[in-house]
Amino acid sequence: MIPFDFEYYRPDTPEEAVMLYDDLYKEGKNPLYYGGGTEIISFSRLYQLYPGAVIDIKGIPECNVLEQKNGYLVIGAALTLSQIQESNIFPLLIHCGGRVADHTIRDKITLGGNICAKIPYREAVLALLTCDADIMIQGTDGKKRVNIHEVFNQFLRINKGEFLLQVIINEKIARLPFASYKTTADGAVAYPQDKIGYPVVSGAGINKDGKLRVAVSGVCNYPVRLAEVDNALNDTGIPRFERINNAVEFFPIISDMEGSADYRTFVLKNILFDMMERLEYY
Amino acid sequence: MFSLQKKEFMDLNINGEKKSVVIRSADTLLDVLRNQLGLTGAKPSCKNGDCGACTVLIDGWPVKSCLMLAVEAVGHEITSIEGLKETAMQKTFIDCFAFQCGYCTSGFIMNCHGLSRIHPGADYGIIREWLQSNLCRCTGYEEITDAIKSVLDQNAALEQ
Repeated sequence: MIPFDFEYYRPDTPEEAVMLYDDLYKEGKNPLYYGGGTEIISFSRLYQLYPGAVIDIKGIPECNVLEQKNGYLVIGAALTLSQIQESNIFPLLIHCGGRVADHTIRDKITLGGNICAKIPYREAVLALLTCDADIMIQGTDGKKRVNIHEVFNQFLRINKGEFLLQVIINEKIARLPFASYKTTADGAVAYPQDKIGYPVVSGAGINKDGKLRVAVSGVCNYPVRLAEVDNALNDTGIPRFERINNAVEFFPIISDMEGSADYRTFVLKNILFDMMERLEYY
Repeated sequence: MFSLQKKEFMDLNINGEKKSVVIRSADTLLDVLRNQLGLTGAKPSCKNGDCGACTVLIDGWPVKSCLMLAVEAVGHEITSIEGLKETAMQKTFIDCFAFQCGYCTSGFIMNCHGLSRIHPGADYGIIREWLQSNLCRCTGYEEITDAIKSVLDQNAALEQ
């Protein structure tokens, strides 16, 4: 039970949503945009979040699109990870998003919700970082399309009142061969939950024009793709093991109850090595 | 624009019937099903989306009702275990001994019923993936897997 009240709104247009946010904010109601709502419900139940109002974006048609248009895939922020999985439209996103939580929760978690969540792992972001996705943001001044690298640094840095409307990916990049991994603290639980759990390391990579692009989460407290890491991995003048050793130096690797920094480093190196094998990148 | 300020009467489409209930905007669907409608088949357990005991179908998709606001369900078809009468999945759970204490069973049946409708040709990998959503700590998952396979086989035979 959520032990306090909030107002619930389901606007029909993006413009209505941002205007409503503005009004509610001015009234001091601490509004939140609401997608699947799994995190808002969980945190509210635990008194860790106190929204005075939630604005459910699932009623906005632009947030529910799933289409191929002019060489790009357009995916609405309110689509659930399961809907994206069933569509088979973007294999790398399906792999990365398909290991978030469990299947029934993915029937509720939306793409936008996963990108904007507080949880560190946010694995759907890995696919977007590796593929240089654009995102469409709605604000009071209208829509703007920006590259994810301009606005995602540890978390999505958009202005107060703005919200994520869509994700746009170049179709050619979305179809490239990929490698995708999630390593959990296996053995702690039995079948079929042995693959459920927070990742020790989660990684995604593609080989674009002979260059490896890698994004990881679990390693640090946010999903990340670093130019220094890509450069180190693509420094083909030195042996592969050395490149991997150089690359992992750039990550601020964490220690927590899922795994120590040493263990995470070990797993990450193995994943990068395997990724190179699978993507035939030597 | 649809909205709910604190507490109002709302219509829910539950198990094929329209029910008018008083919903507080912050009420979870689980609480409304149990406390307002007396539909106690959806079980409260972790209330955190971990165990799956509260699973219901929303437009045919299994969803954990503890992680859904009741107001979100307005305009959608909700199916709880009480809405599954004489279904093959329920009978097959009995035939396959796919439960023990039974507390998690309604959640499992909802999830498995959803699976049989959405993926009638599900292979072992899909069954395994879907079963990750529900926890049972007193019997094994093999019997539950057998029950799903049995229903899928029955449905396939009926189609031929």
